[in-house]
Amino acid sequence: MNDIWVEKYRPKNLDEVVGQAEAVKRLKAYAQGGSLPHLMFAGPAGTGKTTCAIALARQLFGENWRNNFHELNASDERGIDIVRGKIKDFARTAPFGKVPFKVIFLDEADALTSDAQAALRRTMERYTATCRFVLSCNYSSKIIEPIQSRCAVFRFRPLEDAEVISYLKKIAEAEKLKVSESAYDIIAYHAMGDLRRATNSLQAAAAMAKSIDDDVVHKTSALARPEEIAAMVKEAVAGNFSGARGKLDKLLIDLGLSGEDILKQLHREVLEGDINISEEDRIRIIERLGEVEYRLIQGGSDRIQLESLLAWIASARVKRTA
Amino acid sequence: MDADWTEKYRPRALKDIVGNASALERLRRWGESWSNGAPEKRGVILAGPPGVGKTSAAHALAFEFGWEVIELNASDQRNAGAIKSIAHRGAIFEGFSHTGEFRRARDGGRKLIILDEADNIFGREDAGGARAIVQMLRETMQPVILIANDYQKLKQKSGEIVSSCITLYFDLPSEFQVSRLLSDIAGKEGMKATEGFFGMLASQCGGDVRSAVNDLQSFSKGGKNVLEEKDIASIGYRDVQIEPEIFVRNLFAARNMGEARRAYREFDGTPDEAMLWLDGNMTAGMSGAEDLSKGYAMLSSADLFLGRANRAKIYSLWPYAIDMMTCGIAVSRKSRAVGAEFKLPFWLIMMSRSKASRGVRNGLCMKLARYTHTSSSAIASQDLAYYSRMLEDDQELRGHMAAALYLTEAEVGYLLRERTDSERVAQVMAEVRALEEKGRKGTGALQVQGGPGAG
Repeated sequence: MNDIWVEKYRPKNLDEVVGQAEAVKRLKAYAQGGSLPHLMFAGPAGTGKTTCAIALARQLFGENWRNNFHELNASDERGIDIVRGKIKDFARTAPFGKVPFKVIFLDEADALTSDAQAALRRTMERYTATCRFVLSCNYSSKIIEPIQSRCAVFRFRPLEDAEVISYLKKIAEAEKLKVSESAYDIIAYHAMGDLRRATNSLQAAAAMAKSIDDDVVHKTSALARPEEIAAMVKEAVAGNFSGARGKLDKLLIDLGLSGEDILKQLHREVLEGDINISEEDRIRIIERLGEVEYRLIQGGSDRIQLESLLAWIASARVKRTA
Repeated sequence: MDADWTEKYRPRALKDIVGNASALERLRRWGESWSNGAPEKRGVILAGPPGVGKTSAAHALAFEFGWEVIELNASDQRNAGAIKSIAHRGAIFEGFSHTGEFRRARDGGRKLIILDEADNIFGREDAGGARAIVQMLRETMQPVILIANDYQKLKQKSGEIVSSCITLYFDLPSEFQVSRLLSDIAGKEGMKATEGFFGMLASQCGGDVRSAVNDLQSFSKGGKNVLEEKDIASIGYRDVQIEPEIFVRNLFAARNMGEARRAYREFDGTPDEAMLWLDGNMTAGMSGAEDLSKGYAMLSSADLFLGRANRAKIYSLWPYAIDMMTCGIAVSRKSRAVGAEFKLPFWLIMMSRSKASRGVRNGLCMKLARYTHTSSSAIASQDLAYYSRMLEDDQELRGHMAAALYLTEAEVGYLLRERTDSERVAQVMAEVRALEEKGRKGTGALQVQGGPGAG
């Protein structure tokens, strides 16, 4: 292996995109016509939003597509400065070569603050002669109305297990892997329609063993779920706040997870994990998770809010079933 | 206005530098070795705490040997491009002297390249900078001095830089040496003071000569005939403030809202500091899961108010936040923690201890994010676990990715969970060089796919 498969096998043109038939059909029409409105791709991770944006650019601009395609990730540069700086600088210069416009792909646009979104709206209007925006987000509702109304919205749905598996099989064939049928099922089950995760899981498995069976993929599927999450919940449920906080420190500092990441993992753990509490208490905790996430969005700090959650679980408020 | 004494009395020659005699002697010998062409080690690292004369030593060396100086400090961008351009401008080729006379590098008309704050380079902006420095150290016909406060950090970031240089450690000069220097300067400035005065000033500076000289200058305007020890005390060196430990102790002892508010009033910190200290000491101050949970509910509300205040810049919310965390804790405490010990929040300690490795991780996540078209938080929360597994198990992939992403030793070490100077890391870096060598010969070994911004 000499590359990360997520990149090596990323589809180069729209025809190769896995699933999303409806979206692909409409995008191909734009590519053939050579014109484009602003677009918004909404859907969960690993469903082809970035791939479609790049493939569309390749088909619109041909070989030198990179000159007229600019990719930015709003979650890494979320302030208003990115809109006023990088985006504006790229938007206002004329396209390169004989193309009518250039394309800015703004990934994770829902991470932009509302101020930044408002600034983005003005930029979209102002440079519409030279520039088209493709915004990607998990939920279109996190994008302010005026931007939504200026975009053609495309919904990307999680991929079917069968679609994931057929894509994995193509990779396996190209890489000459031996993979058992049930191993594919396990990878697809854990990937939950996320092709990036499925591909990473397969590659990690291939790096671990020559022949890929259930055992190997169980191990790689667990990779994306840090063991500290389960341990943290266990400590908290057992009433050991200090122990739980120790795990939390590790997640925040050593693994660099954000509060929202940790909440998502916790949600999964409380739903599916092997914890010694009643279903009623699970639901009470989940309600609390939602509350905490809302507080984070409002400006609460990751550490204090999560500590408070752990202290709540550790107190007698969650009754442990012996 | 008087000149700044630290500049006015900056040592011009190596012999004028206070302390560190043996390091200075080795530096001089390295300087001499350049008279017969470039020596084996073309770079020297001067490592040591601030204000002990590292920069002065570098300039004094250049002065003694008649070298010109090219300085690159942290405020300049020192990415690969910038370093290469300096290296090519001065380091490899010859130069002109002050008088415009052409001097060949071989003939001794050298340029000393000084990289200040070398331990702070190669952040996000300095991608590839480390490698450019290593290359410069190998090829240059000019002497190079790297200056670092934190030698370990530099070593962590690039073992290769460290191993291609001679390292000279600068220690804190003794109080006696500093006080003698102060007394010399005072003599030249016509200041009169007792021995005890110089001694006390020297002991207060903690070995930082620069700050001692600054302090001395601040006394020069006093107009007093002979300065004494008690004059130093009268100046008052530190702001007096209630220590956070005392605030925490008073607050956890408060029996009602009035006492809680008083505890905060006496504390001179910001609400954020108060929050940090309370949070760090909650388990010591609150006994029992029930009290702890109620206390945290209060902290959590306070935190939310602070977050809203900071985000929307509505600082009128601060009083509510303060009341929630102070009074809130006082009223939610039913039982009393006896003999509790309050200390520096563990979080602060962990954060400062892990600073270097967090920096490495963030840089690594950013590189992987650009390469795979995603965000660094997506990498940190999910993909990194897969990638580190793949790279650990797959040797070929390891070399290729380290080359394609321009990974540093520290980043490779982080991925492999190995020390930066371990053999496995060195092995990967060797693979990278082999691939680069191949790439240069046009076999296309480095051609990996990727979208925009991949390279």
